[in-house]
Amino acid sequence: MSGRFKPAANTYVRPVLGWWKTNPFYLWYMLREATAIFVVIYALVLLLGLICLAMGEGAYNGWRAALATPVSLVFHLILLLLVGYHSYTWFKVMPKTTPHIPIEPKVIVQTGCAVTAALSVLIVAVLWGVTR
Amino acid sequence: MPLDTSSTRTIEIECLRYGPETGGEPRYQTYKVPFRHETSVLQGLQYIKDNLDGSLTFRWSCRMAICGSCGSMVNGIPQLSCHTFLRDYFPNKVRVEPLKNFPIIRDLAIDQTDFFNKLDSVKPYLIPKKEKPISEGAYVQTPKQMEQYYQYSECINCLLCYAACPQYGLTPTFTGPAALTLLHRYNADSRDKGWTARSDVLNSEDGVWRCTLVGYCSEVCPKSVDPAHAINQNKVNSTLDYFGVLKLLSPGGAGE
Repeated sequence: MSGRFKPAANTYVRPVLGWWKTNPFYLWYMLREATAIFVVIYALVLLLGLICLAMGEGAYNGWRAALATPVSLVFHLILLLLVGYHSYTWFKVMPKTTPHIPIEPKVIVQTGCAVTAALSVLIVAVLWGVTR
Repeated sequence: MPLDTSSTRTIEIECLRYGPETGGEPRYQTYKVPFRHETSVLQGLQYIKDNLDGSLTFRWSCRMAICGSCGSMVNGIPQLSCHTFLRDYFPNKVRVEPLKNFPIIRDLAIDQTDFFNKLDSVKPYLIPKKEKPISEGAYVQTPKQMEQYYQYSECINCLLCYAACPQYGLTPTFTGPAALTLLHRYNADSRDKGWTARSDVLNSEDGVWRCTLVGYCSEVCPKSVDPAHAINQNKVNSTLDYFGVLKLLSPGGAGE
């Protein structure tokens, strides 16, 4: 950045290549960012279902049959883990985005995770009851 | 086993060396340094300079984690070398390098010019709505108002947060953690009405929006200033400012 202070001469600038491998903290950060891709993939799976539903009963049943295959179940289990981790990190960084409030960051993170877990259980229970 | 606080042991300190007159790639030089339980990494460097190699260059001043001069990468982690102890690395050797993401002037001394220009750009001083003469007395504020910015005013400009920030390493035009934190320190001060004067820096792509919340700046901060919090709460303010809502929420202050 230019300004009224002038930089020193003959300095050495180190390369930044591979920065994310230099500290475990950065690796966790990269994992957090990478899990966002799997959130998108899951959204696309659901969107595909919606398109199939619009196309008619046959297409929708085809989509449901594809979801019930073992490959799809394993894939969804992996998705669940990664999306779960993504949700956790979402609450983990939440205290950094709130205004300056007198609530312990830990309380914000734990409340967010607890509410998510409770709602997830509730939604699964309701769907279980409806579809049984 | 009782804590051994009296005996002298020897540790190897590996320092990065670079000279502007010779140029080329930096190299590492290892020194054998005697230390005791209470010897800091900075004192280890001072031992080298006094007894082994007078040419080793590094910055230091207070020796008690308040001046912010002796920041360096100790085994790859940005730390104040006066606040880091050789006993915690023994029997392994300890590697001391200049703070990452900054140009090296000589050995462990970095060029801080870029930061000073950025600090200058955030107008790090009170901008009151109207200047008043001294005869009218001080600008008063309540302890509750002070609480809003006090934590951010504890920044000692040690630049550990810049060394911790990969976004600054990748895009050096990023205003960066400490400067944006000090920008917020003044914006959050009830005596200050300088939001508009600072908004160009804050709202720009190189302002708060360059931050991707890696969050390591807040981890390494020796004063618990929490730069990541200062920056990210301002993404909300910046959005409100964009839609013209901020000045409605805080009339007479932010966004006016």
